[in-house]
Amino acid sequence: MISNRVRTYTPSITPFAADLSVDEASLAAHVARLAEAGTGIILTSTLSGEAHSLDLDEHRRAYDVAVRVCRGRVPVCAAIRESTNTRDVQAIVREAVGARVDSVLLNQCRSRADDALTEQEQERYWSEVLEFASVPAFLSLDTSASGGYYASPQLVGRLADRYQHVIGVCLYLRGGRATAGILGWEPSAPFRGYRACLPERVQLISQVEALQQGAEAIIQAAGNVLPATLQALVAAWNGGNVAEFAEAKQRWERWIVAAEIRWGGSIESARVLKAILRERGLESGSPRPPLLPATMRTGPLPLREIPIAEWETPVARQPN
Amino acid sequence: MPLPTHRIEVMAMTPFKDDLALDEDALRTHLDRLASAGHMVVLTSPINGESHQLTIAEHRRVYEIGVEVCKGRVPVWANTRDSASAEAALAIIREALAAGCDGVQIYQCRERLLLNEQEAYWRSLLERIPVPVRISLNELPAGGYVAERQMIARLADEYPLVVDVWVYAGNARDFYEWRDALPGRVRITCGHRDNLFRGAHGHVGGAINNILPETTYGMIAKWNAGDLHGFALMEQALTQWTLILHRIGGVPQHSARATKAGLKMAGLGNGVLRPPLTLPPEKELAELGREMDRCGLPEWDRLRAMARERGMAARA
Repeated sequence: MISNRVRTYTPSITPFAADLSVDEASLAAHVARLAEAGTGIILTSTLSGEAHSLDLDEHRRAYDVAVRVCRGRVPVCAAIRESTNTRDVQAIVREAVGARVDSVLLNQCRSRADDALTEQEQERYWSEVLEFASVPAFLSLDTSASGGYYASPQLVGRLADRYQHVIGVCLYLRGGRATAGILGWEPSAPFRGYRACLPERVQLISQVEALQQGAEAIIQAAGNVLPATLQALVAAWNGGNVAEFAEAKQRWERWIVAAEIRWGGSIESARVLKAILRERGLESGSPRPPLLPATMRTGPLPLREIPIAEWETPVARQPN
Repeated sequence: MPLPTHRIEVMAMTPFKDDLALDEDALRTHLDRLASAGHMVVLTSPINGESHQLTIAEHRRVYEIGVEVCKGRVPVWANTRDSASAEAALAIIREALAAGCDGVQIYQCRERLLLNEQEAYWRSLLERIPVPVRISLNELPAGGYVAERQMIARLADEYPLVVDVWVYAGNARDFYEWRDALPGRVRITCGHRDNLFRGAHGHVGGAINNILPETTYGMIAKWNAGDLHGFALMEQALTQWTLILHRIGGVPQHSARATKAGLKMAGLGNGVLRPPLTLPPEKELAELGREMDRCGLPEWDRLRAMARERGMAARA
C-alpha cells in the first residue's frame, strides 16, 4: 500500500518569554505560521514542546491558543507527555478535551529499560487511558519516551479494534540498527508488522523514511523552522515523481544534517529549534532549565550546505 | 544534484556439483539468466560467491565462464575476496585481468592497519590494476573498520580508474559526507536502498537478485522511469518476500545459504554449498517456500510452477 495523500504534522515548540513564562503571543504567531504552510500541529510534545517543563495550566493555555488560531485550518493535536501512571495522563487529557483540540497523542507508559511492563500491564494501562480519553486518539510508540520498549503490533491492533476512536499510530523508528535489534533486522519490517495488525481506518504515521513503506502521514520537528519546505517535500511524494521527490528529500536531509552539526544536537530538541528560529529572526525565547540555549559551532561542515533562504520561500511555496 | 540512471547488479552465486566440484554448466546457465535480465554481474563475491571456498584456479574458471557468457551483454566484474595483504589480493586480480573481466572490486585489508599502512596497501593495488576499480568499504569483511574519507577521496582523485566506491552509509549524514568528499565522477554504490534517493548510483543485491533477477530489474526500471509509487510498491512486495527468505539464516544480501536455498526452492539449483555452510532441513525449506508462494510475486510464482511441473518442488 502506498499513500499519495500524505499529510504532515509538526510538533510545535512552546515559546517562553524572558521570564520563562509561556509567551502566548509568540505561540500564536508560531502556530499561525505553521498553519499557513498547511502542516498539522502537535502541541506540548515531550521534546520540541518541552512538555515536562509545563504545569497543567500552561498545557491548557497552549491548547487554547492553538485552537483559537488554527482550528478549522489544520488539525490541532495535543501530545500527552509520557508518564508512569494514568492519573497524570488523565489530568492533561482533561485539559486538552476542555480546550476542544481535534485529537490527542498518547504515549506508552514509561518504564525502566530493565523492567519493561508486561503485555498485560501495558494493555491495562492503555485501556484505562483510552476509556478516559473520548476524543480521536493517536497511539505513539517511541522508545525514547517509553524507556526502551515498543508495544507489540498485536497489542496495538487489539486496542485499535476495541477503541474506535483510535485513529492513528505514530511509529518512531529510532537508532537504525538499534531499533532493528528490537523489531527485526529489515528496516521496513516493523512498519509492515504494525500495518498488518491495524484496521484500515487507523493511519500509520512515521518519519520521511517510512513513506516508501506506506506511511500515511509524517511527523517532523524541523517543520518548526521550515514548514513550507516540509509541505513541499510531501507534495513531491504525493506527486509520484522520483526525481522531484529525491531532490526535495536531499534538500531536506542536507539541511537537517548541517543544522544538527552546526548546533550540536538533534533537530527535535527545543534547544536547537529555538536557537535556529532565533537566528532566523523568529524569536521564541530560551528553553526552560535544565536545557540551555544551543550555541552555534563555527568552522567548515563536512558536507555541502544549502542556505535555506534559497528555497524555503521561493520554491516551497509553490501550490501543492 | 540530478539523479543518475540506476544500474542493477548482482553478486552472482557459484554453483557446485553434488561432489562439491565447480559446476561450470550450471554457472553458464545461471549467468545467462542474470545477464538476460539486465544485471551487471559481479563474480566470486566472498559471501554469495563463496570465494573463500574457491582455489585460485577455480577463480580463473569462474572469470573465464563469466566473460564467455556475459561479456558485451552486461558488465562482468570480479569481486576479489578480502585479503590480509596486497599480494594475496593481487593473486586473484591477476586471474580476473587475464580472463578479461571489465573491472574489479577490491576490499580493505583484513588486517587492522595504521593509516599510512592502509594507504600503502591501496596504492600497491591501484598501481597495478589497469581496469576500472570499485573500492568496497564494507566493514564486515575488513573486520569492523571503514577507511577515512579523506584518504579514499585522495586515492580516487589520484587514480582515475577508481570509478566506484561501495559504502553502507546507513544514515543521511554518512552518505552525504561520502558524496561530498569523493570526486563527482566517482559513483557511490550502496547496500541501503534509501540512499538511492540521496544520489547513490546503483544497488547491489545478493540473494534476491540471484533468485528474482527480472523482478529486481523491474523495480529499478520503475525508478529509472521516474515512477516513485510504482518503485515503492515493488520494493514493498519484494521486502515481504525477502523477510521470509531472511529466516533461512542470515541477511540475504550476505548469505550464499539463502541464495542457494531460494534457487533450490525455485527449481534452479541443487542447493549445494561448500563446508562449513549447510542448507536448513528440507521440511523447513518447504514451509518457507509455501509462505513465499503467498507473496504474489509473478516471477517467483512462475518459477515455482515450472519447478512443480518438473517435479522438483516436491523436494523443496
